[in-house]
Amino acid sequence: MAETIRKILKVILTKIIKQDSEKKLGGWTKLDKRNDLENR
Amino acid sequence: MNVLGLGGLLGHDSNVSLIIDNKIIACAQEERFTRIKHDASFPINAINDCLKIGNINPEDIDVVVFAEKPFENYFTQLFGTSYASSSYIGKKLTSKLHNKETFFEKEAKKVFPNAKLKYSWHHFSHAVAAYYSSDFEEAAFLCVDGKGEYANASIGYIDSKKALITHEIPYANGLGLLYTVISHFLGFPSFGSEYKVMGLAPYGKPIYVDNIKTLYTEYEGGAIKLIKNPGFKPDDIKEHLPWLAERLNLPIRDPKDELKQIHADISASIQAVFEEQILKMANFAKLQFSTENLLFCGGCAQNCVSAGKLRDKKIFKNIFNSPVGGDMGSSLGAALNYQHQTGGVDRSKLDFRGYYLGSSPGRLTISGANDYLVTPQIELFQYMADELANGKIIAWVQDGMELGARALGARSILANPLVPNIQSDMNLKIKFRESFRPFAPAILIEDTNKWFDIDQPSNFMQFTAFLKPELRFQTPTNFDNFKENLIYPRCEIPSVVHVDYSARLQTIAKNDHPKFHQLLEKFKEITGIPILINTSFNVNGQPIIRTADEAWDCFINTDIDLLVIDDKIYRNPFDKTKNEKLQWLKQFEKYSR
Repeated sequence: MAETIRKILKVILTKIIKQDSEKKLGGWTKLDKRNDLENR
Repeated sequence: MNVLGLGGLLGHDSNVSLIIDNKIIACAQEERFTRIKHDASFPINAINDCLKIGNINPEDIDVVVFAEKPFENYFTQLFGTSYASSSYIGKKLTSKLHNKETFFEKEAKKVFPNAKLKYSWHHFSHAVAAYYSSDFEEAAFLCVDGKGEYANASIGYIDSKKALITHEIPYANGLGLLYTVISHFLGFPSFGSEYKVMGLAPYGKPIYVDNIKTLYTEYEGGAIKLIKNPGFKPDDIKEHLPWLAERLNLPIRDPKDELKQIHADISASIQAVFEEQILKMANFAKLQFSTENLLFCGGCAQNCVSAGKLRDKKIFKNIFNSPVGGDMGSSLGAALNYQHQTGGVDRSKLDFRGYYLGSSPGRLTISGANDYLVTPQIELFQYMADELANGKIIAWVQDGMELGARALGARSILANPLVPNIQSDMNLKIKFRESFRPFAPAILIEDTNKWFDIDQPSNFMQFTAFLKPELRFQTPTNFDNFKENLIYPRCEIPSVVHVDYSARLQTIAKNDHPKFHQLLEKFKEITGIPILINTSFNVNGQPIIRTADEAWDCFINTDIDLLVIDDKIYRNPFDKTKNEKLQWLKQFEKYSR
């Protein structure tokens, strides 16, 4: 039961997160990626 | 300052590099120690080896730099998208995950109690390693691979003070994955087998380009996105193959099936698509920056044929293809990136030693081996050159081992390219691999442009070049199948020249590799040819050998005639039965398809 709930939550979470980042897609994405060494 | 780079979080090829006071001391892949091809385990053996070479203890390490962002990588695997590009809500919902340390981080903290942990974006690791391997003061870079955290390709700029990525292609479903799934489709499912497809391509015609183009959507600047994304897991790709077959309207090849012309044609088609997209990407990069220098890096840069095309098209005046394009040396880029970020790197102090950054072979400890010692009355290189000229095959082990997939003369098998049928003989009796696969020529740099159309060094075997037209024999063009084409003599040295007259060169300069240079000079004196076959000292599926004992083990189980370890020469006892050899080979089977 717990495993099923975990899986459902993951699917919902993935949808929320993906929806957000997919808006920015379409080939080359322009960005200014900093060469940082701190963030994991 | 002692900086240790650590790569392998992406699930393959864990590796370690050590820089002490701005000097590269050592770099090693874990697979060479565990003997598991592309081993992804925490590289404790490689760490110990690098520390031993540097003569320091784990407590002396000041900084450990990961070649990837571990959390970004973990997040991408979980959700198929980037944490960095997630919204405020996305980050809020997953904030607890952010503190979850990966296994590599936990181990690194245990092993290096005094070290600060730093994290390099994967594509920056590639780009910085390429930059410091080149002579460029400044350059654009094009990094293309399967995935680095979230992106499958990046474009950016680097000079001695800064490095930035200005564009990337998100998702791990781009050009690298396309090549990988087609490799599986062609019956080459083991990790890193794309080079086999590249090797098969010249035997075919690119008649299935349009079929392959139905697999993806194309965007500006050579960017592609697969319509259906199976990911990189072999089982998922296997499940994906029937869909692929239907879409391509072509049959799947089982690894056990015989290779036929259709497979060469599919290979030629994916290679043509790949090259087309790489050239478009390079054009796109050229539009972004005013520089004339391009660094081509990432796993896809190991496709030396496309690197050769990139060089010949002159989109950028100068191209440098990374010596270790894949992830086998990602730790070196990570460590150099830290140096780059903290006050820059004194390039005069960098000594790549031709990328011979691993440990020495050590002494041969096999009992009875000395019974097979040869003590010639002439100088070593003269003896080796004489034996090579007589058609003998020599395994050569000396000094620090090479970093990356290519043997460059430290753990090599050498042979005479003038010997008829040497290509198929070596493939079938020594390397135990597909007969179609060509070998690379090692050539004296001063003679290179007498033989090949190339105007720059290829000292790490990173470029292909074409044999001069005047050295080519007339050959028919209408072969019924690629095997006929394979055996047809196309020039004086067909074993190192592909059917399209291309060759993956290693140019040997006296300063880079004095011993190899001397050997080639002696060989040229005898034969008039400044070229030797150079292939890695291993069999199909086996990591390149590291120690003297491993060298002996491989030597006696193959048909190599002589083994040279430093200045000692051994003749092969040839006392293994065919069955014993087959039994020995079985241990590498699962990595060899």
